[in-house]
Amino acid sequence: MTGPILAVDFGTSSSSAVLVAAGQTVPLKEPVSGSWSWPSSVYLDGETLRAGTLAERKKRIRPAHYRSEIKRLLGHDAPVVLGDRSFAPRDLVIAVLTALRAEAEAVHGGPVRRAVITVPAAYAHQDVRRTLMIEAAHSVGLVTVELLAEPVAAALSAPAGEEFTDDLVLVYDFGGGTFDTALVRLRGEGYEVLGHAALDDCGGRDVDAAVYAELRGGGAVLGGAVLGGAVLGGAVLDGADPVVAQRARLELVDLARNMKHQLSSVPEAEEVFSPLGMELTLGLPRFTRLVEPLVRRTIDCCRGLLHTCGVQPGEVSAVLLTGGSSRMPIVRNELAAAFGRPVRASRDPELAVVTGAARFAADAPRRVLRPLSSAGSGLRWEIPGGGGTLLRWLVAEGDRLGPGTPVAELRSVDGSVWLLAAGKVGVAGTLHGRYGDTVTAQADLVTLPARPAAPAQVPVERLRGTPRQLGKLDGVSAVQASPDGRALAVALETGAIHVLDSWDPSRPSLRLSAERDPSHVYLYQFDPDAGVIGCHCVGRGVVQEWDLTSGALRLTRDVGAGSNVTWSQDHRLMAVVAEDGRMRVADVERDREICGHQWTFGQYESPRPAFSADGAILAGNTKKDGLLLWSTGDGRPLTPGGLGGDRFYEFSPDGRHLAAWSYGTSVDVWGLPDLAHAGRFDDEASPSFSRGGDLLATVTRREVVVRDTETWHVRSRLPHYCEKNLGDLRFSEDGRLLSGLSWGGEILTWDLHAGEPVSRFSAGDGLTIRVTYRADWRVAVTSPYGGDVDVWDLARGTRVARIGCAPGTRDYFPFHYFDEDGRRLAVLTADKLRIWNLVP
Amino acid sequence: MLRDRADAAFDAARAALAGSPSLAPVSRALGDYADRFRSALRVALVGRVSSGKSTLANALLGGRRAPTGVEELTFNVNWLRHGPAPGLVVHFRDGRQPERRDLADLERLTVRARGDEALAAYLRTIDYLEVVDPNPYLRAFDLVDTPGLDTAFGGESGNTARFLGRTPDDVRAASLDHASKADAIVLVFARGLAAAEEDLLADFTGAGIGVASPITTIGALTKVELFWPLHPDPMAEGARVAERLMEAAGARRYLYDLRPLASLVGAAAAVFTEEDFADLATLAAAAPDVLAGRVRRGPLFTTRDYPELGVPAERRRALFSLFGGYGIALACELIRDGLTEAAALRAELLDRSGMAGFRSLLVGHFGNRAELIKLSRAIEDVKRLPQLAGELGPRDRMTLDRAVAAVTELEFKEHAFAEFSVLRNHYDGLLTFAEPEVAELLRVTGEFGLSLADRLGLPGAAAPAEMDSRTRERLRHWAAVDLDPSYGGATRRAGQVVRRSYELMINELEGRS
Repeated sequence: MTGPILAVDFGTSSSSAVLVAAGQTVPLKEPVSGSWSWPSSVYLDGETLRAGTLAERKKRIRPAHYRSEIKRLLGHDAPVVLGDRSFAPRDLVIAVLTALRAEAEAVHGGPVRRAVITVPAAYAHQDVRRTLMIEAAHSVGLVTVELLAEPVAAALSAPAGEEFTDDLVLVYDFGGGTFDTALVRLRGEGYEVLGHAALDDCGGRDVDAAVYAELRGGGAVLGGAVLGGAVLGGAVLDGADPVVAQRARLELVDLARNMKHQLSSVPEAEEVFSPLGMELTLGLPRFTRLVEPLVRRTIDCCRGLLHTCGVQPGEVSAVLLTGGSSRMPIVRNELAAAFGRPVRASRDPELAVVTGAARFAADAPRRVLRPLSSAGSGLRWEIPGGGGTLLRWLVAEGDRLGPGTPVAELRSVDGSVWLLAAGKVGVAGTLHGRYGDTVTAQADLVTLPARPAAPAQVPVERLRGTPRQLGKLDGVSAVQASPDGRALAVALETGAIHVLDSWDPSRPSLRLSAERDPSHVYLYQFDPDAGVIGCHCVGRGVVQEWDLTSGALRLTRDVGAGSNVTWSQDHRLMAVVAEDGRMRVADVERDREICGHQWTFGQYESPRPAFSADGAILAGNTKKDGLLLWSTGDGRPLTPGGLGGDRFYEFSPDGRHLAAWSYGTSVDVWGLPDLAHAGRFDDEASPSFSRGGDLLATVTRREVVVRDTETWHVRSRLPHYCEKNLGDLRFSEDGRLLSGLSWGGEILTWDLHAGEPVSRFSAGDGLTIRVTYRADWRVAVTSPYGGDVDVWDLARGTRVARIGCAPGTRDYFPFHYFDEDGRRLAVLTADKLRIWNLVP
Repeated sequence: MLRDRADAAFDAARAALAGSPSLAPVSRALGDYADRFRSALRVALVGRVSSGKSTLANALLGGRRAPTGVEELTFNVNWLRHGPAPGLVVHFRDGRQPERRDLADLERLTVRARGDEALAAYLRTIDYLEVVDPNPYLRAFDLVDTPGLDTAFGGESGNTARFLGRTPDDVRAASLDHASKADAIVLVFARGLAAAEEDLLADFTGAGIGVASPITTIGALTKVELFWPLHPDPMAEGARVAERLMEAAGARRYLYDLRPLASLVGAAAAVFTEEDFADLATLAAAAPDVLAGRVRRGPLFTTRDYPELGVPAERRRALFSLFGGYGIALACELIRDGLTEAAALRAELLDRSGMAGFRSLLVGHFGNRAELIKLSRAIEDVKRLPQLAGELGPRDRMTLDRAVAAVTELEFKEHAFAEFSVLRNHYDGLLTFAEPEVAELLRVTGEFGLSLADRLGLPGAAAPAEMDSRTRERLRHWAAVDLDPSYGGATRRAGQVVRRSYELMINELEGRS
């Protein structure tokens, strides 16, 4: 989204400006005159440099403090003298731009930092006057400044529906101070100035001077009688008092200008010259004869241009009139007669250039370049106009790039500013060049390190199908799906446990009777292949196991009410922490106690004991005790030295590592089983190992850091931009993708091969969100506690479907899982199991 | 100084190209332009065959430097430049090494070539003659003497051209070529009222010689002495004819000035010997009306036995071929009026022939503006570089544009160009200023001298404070002119330029220039 843009036609005699903001274009009025025309004049008023109409109003007081047509001075090295002060020509331009920007900000109600400024076609691509204009704009706070050739702006000003498309346009710009003409070739979206020519002493002011001379010379008809020049001249214009004479002359030229304007619409102009109370009249025929020599010169200038460019008048699509002086009817007639081509003019020719500039400004968001597709390992862009100069980098070396990531800002030789965007995922390797360096399509601007190709983006299917309800599942207290997703075990508050075939409703379900538990139950084990299901009734303090084939109760074990029970992966070892903190660790197969410990903990705390993957080590922690480890082989404590208190821990799935951490300190990693210290990562937290154990991801305040667990070298640094903490990092099965859940409920996913973000979406507003990833990690299902279930396209971060839950079930945590091939999704809400097909 | 700024611009341009091997040819061309800018201003003498260009060159240089005696050699371009010792180098069109020759030797060889095909062939291969001379006058500029702009040769010239295997077209082409390579031009018209001279002007303006403007072109109306004896004061008649050409034929649009020159007299003034002087003194002793009557009879004067004149016919022939009839009459009159020294006669003849004034005109007009004229030309050359460079990659194109801009930006940065264009408008009669403003405009732009005091119209010894207050006073005046709506078009622009000129003087006075 581009902010407000100030479009400026910086003219020799006067300027005009338009504010482009929020899709609107607002012409800016000169605050003093209320006109759209801002005189390009300055006046030194005491210590203040005034610009525009204020300067015009004060010029009579001290002509030596006044300077008009300041644009002519741009590029001069020597200072300009106003009164007793000297100014760099640039300062005068700055004074005008300052006034324009101030008005733009007043209209916009906020800062305006971007501008499009038109410059004459005579300012060649590498002309220092272009640089000076940009610098002047920078110094008034316009940060991004684009230049546009005046005739191109004029050609772009054509109203909607009448645009020039594939045309050769002769731009006829008859302004206040100069006449400029250019041949502009428009082709599709592109344009090219084939040539240009100018008369620097032929403008509206010179028309005014011709009319003035006529009025002064008595050529104007006064009350039916020809006024003798001596009368008007001798009386006041050349009077003895030079100040009075000058004011009279300036008044007369104002009349001359007014009469000129009148003659654009009426055949006879009338004015009163107040110093003498004389009526002056000027008819169109006489006016036409007066300006004819000037118009002839402009047409000769156009002819010369066509000749120089080797273009026949017949090849010109149209003559486009711009500039206030082109309003004179004679202009249109003479041009039509001279070239025999259609003559087009906008409604307000004095605003044509700035209108075109505004249109160009509004197009700024489209000035984004995609890199050339090349076999090489770098990024290069085809620059409009052939080349440009680098303005700034928008990425740093090592940053992740994705499709459309803005990489750099560049100024094309024609003065337009372009964003160079990345085309696909990658990492910015070496950035070649700095501010002002030449950029062309001939060389890579960014070198990309070699990396495996990212998977093609495939849209995820939508959900389809009728939800099916499997009986009535009142008061679900626990639910567990089998690892392959084929079966579902649901424990009800009644104590009944239903074992269902997830996908085939016709199959009868198994119903087991467990203890009815006033508190809650855990289905700690559900393995249809092994034919076993285990349930821990916390309130009753009982652990029970059933044979799934027969439905027979295999085992009942008393663990004490309110105890916390943990099993090793093979369910051979069990750690029970009683409510009072006493822990007993037992080998249930051999029925022998391995070790014990008395934990000390606070009110809402639990030591969270856990076994390593192979069960060889048991760990647990509380704030008071810190992290403690035991060998389950011989039951002796293993806690490594130097391990302070208050540490959380994480075993790697492959059993090779243990990571311990706490917020605000460091993540420490030890190798297993010998507990050799493998690394310390300061200011990192929330370690998580990939399934294969080859990667460790941790979180800093700004980044997710992924390390190789062989060398501990950093594989990726992934900025997460989470204001709140990020945690719950999870690797996909293949270790390619990594997801994290922010404490604000956002799910962030990265592609670790590309080293860049894949998606980011909000799944809720807290940490308590259940997230289920499909095996291929293209789909994720989320459900906040008590909320609806959302199905996401993980690659795009878009929601595929939302599954509403029954009202009045706010305290239920929806459960979801996929079938083995990921084609079906089962969602268990408060009382319903619904099955959805994921269909293309 | 303009020269330093231009040098710096060329250096910057070449530095910009330094890193681009593919732009090496462009860099070399730029180097040539820079050398050209640093070398002397090149002023070409352009006119019809036998319009007296070589004579004029010799008269300007005060000696016989360019070949004039043998017509064949006048079909060559003669390039006269300053050097420590006199010399002549023959440059060939077939790429042969240039040869150093003695002028007399070359003339003898040329005469012999009339009967010797091998020598004639040698003459045909001459491209141009480079004449080196220690004359201090050549320090200000090189003179390029071109053969002729004629579209057809008549009489003896036609025979000579045929002998040399040259057609009017290729002589004309060579002349135009050298004229267009020159920085400035002296357009030479031989005495005459014929439409042919107006045709010449038309030829010249239509030939596309880019530099033809009053700033870069001065006219010389030569052989004015041939108005004598029809007109007793041939210089006055010459001035009248020049005026007519300037006004009626529109020469004012192209020429800064058209000066009548008794060029033969001027050339003779430079080279006559003590013996010539003694003979002239003897002739001057004769009764003035008798001498005048005899000289007017031309051919008879050089052959008849006139014992009353006291100089034998053979000596009279030598004097006549050197001075011409008017020259003898004028010289004798001056001796009678009391000039008894050869040096004094020499100076007076140079003055009376218009040659002395023409010399200072050339030095004043071209010499003082040499840097600007050359820079103007260099900028035009540099602007054409992108076309000459052909197809370039975008990076090279940008580099080249940058280099070109480094030089061409002087066109708007150097205020002298704006003044130059105001002067041109003035000479084109486009400015409507009253007389005092015109005089001031000319003074400010350096037409009457280049020092600050000169430009302010103050005595050379003016104190800085006086100059400062004068400058500020004039600046205020021209600020008011800038505001005055009476002035439109070129005049209005000129007012802005003069205001700026005073502004630059203030900067100069304050040491900011």
